[in-house]
Amino acid sequence: MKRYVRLLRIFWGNALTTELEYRAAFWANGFLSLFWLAWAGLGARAYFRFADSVRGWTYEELLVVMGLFFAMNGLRQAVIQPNLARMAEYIRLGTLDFLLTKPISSQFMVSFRHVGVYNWLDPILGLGLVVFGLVGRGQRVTLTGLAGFFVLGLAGVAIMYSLALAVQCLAVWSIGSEGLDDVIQGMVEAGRFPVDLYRGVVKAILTFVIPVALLTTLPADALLGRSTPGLIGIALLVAGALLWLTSRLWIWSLRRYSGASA
Amino acid sequence: MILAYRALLRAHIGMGVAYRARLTVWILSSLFPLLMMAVWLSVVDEVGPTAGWRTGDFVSYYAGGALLYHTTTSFLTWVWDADLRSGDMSFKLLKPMDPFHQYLTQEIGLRVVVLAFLLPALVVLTLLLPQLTYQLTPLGWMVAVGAALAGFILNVLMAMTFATIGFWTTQAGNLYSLWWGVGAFLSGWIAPLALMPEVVADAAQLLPFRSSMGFPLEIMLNRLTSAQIAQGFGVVAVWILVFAMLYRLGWRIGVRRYQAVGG
Repeated sequence: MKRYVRLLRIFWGNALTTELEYRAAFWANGFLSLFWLAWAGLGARAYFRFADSVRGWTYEELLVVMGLFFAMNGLRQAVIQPNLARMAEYIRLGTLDFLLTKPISSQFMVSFRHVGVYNWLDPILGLGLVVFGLVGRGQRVTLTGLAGFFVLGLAGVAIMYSLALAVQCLAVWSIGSEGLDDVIQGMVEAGRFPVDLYRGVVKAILTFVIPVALLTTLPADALLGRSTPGLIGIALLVAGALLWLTSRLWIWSLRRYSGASA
Repeated sequence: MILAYRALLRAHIGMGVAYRARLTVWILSSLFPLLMMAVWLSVVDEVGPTAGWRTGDFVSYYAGGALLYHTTTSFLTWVWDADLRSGDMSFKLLKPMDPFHQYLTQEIGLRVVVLAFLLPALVVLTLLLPQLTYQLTPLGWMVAVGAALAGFILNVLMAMTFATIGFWTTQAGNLYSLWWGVGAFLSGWIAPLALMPEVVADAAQLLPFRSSMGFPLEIMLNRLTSAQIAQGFGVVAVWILVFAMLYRLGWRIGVRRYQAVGG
């Protein structure tokens, strides 16, 4: 465990030093993050010109979900996207064979080797929007609500990571897998709005098949005091099961993998 | 010139076809219009038609909007930026043809492939979904296609005008993002202009952004009078002229500054 923490520090420290070479880009990206946050927040106002609440969600409550979406999406772009985008190349160039010979977990290597700091401000701004929405609503967040939020938020991160790992496995099976990071982006994108705002089949898929609801809607519900202990239990169970299943899947995929030249 | 265009187009369409898997994934994963539509449908469900817009209107609007977004958006600012960084611009300058035409054919090639994929999909959807209908005469369709084409040309010119900023700074792509982002409110992309605040809707009539999204869509949904259509084409024509001149200016001054990578 200690070794992995040290490795992470080296990997990510490296990436940070490289990125900080480009000062202008670093600050420009921060400014763009702020711009897109305002863009999304203002854009959603359009609905509320015609209704005070949509499916039980007011504008302020929707901002809480949207803030969480920005935070999750920022994490995706920082940790998941840079690694996922390289997977196709790992396989095409044989880098994966080389990674497999390292004396550490291959799952760790393909998931956390790289980090991007382009969207460094997104998680911070996202949480800021969450607070803004809560204050705007006059919400008093209880201690249990906050605890539920942290647990559900962590479960959401774990689920997002598992989905990404499942996509990494897909990449091992098929070489022509460029653009797989777009798939994860699409999934997270659906978490921009509370799942209750979608209808019928779409809502069912986003809740039970691809658990997007667990990414943003449920943690927001906890903050808004609408969560139940049973729900938190289920979320933890789903997150744990997905983590276990996808790491099994990764090992199974590697067994079927026969090297770059084979 | 025509021969060269034909060869370039064929090459770039081929390139688009070669990347069809990537294009498909990209199109399928860009959910934004679908999400917006889904939320509007919930609003209509709850409070009834918004400003006269019913379920069918929203479905038709966003389905057409998705098609227009994928066929008229131009990413040439970033392509150009990459060429400046990698030095590929030097190769383009060596060819006996203005790089403008090389970039234009590249964009057309890509969009033709996207269209070949999306148009049949839209046709199938209109047959399957009763709410998705466009009641247009053949003449109406021709006008809508003409409007979309004009919008495409304007978008390409805007993207390339911003691209020439790349001769001075590395932030051309970001500047174009901001331009597009502001434009999204004024184009009908965030929401149909008829449902936006009046100030926004009014300003949009005279700005360039509506030309490739709201304008052709409103024609497709049969919501414009002949006079309004004529005015829309007038606005597009003026902006095409403005950006053609701005592009020429940016290119003339900019290319003289260009020293290639390492120069």
